[in-house]
Amino acid sequence: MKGQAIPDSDHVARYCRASTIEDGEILPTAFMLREADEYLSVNWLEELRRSDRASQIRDLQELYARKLRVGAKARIAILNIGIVRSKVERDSPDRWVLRVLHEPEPDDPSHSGIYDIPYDDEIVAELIAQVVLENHPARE
Amino acid sequence: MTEEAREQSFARYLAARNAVAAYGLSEKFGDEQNLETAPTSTASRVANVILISPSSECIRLVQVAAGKTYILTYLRASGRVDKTFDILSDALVTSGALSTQFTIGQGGSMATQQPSIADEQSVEQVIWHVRTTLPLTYRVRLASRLSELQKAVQEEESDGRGISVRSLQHFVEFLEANPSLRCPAISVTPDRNIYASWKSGSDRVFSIHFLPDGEIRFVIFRPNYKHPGQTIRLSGTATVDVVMSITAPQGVLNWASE
Repeated sequence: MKGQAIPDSDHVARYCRASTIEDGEILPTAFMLREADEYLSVNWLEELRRSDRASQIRDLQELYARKLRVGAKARIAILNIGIVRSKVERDSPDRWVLRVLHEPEPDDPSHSGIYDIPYDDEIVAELIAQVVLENHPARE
Repeated sequence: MTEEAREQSFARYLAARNAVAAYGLSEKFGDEQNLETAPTSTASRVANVILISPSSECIRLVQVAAGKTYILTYLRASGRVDKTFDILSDALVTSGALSTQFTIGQGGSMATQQPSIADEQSVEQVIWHVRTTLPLTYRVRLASRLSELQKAVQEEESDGRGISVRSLQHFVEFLEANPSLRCPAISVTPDRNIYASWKSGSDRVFSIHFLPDGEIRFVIFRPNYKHPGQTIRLSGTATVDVVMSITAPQGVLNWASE
């Protein structure tokens, strides 16, 4: 449902452009916004309704291939929502409280957004980059 | 200032980028005995020479031959320093031997009278500059990384445009002014700006976002030495020329320098 808050126990995947990767490591720029962006686009993994991570990753790779120009070195970052939210609230000087909401699109039902990331302060992106749980190739 | 320091300073500022080509030329080449000289009218042939001056200086630039060796005479009130630099590519100087001299005036007056060629520099030219002028310990690796990023951004974006040239120029200017820094991890922000990070574990982070207008935003994570296990985290804004004086007291050089 659009606007639904995703539970802290769930996970999201972030498509990380090749220009945000160095030696396979996902860097904080993967979690930064453009000024006009309302939220950071992610996909709600549990909403994909797959039984295992490998199937979820395959679904995402197919989705990205349809929607994006996927670079050879692009990666997928897996984040736990609760860990991200608590990390940012606890460790950011301004105690940023993030929201993660479901933003389904017709061709992308698991699409979601991480809201309230500041555009002009990179500290939140740095903190998110420190709690990436998994790192997968963005294309098959 | 010692001669060595003066030369280092000069080399850095040479490397900085902006062009002052074909401007303020005079004809004082009589003392260059072994060099072919040319009249001032040939000045237009150095339209791509890349130089910058922070203050009033007199600089003589001579292309000895159609090759990579150039002699620059750096004249200040304190004396004369002759130095040979391999700083300019054939691609950046039109063919044919030439020589000329120009004076750079105070306070950026040049910029108000003639557009800087820096505005027209491409990302590839800046990367070439990195490959030839930054510290030997990492210049090749850094240039390779920047080329990789440029290609990645061009592939990712539907308009085919790459990294912000101005952001990249400010990043290179910063590295030139701080040669003790080690090579950072580099990535590109959604706005195509350079983002550089020096890290040593999760509690030693120093990152700079280079904005196209010369401003920067920085992030520092560092240990709280009075409270072991705790981390101090802060962020802020500054400009390229003062960021190190602002952040060095936070101890960033402990892990960001060689």
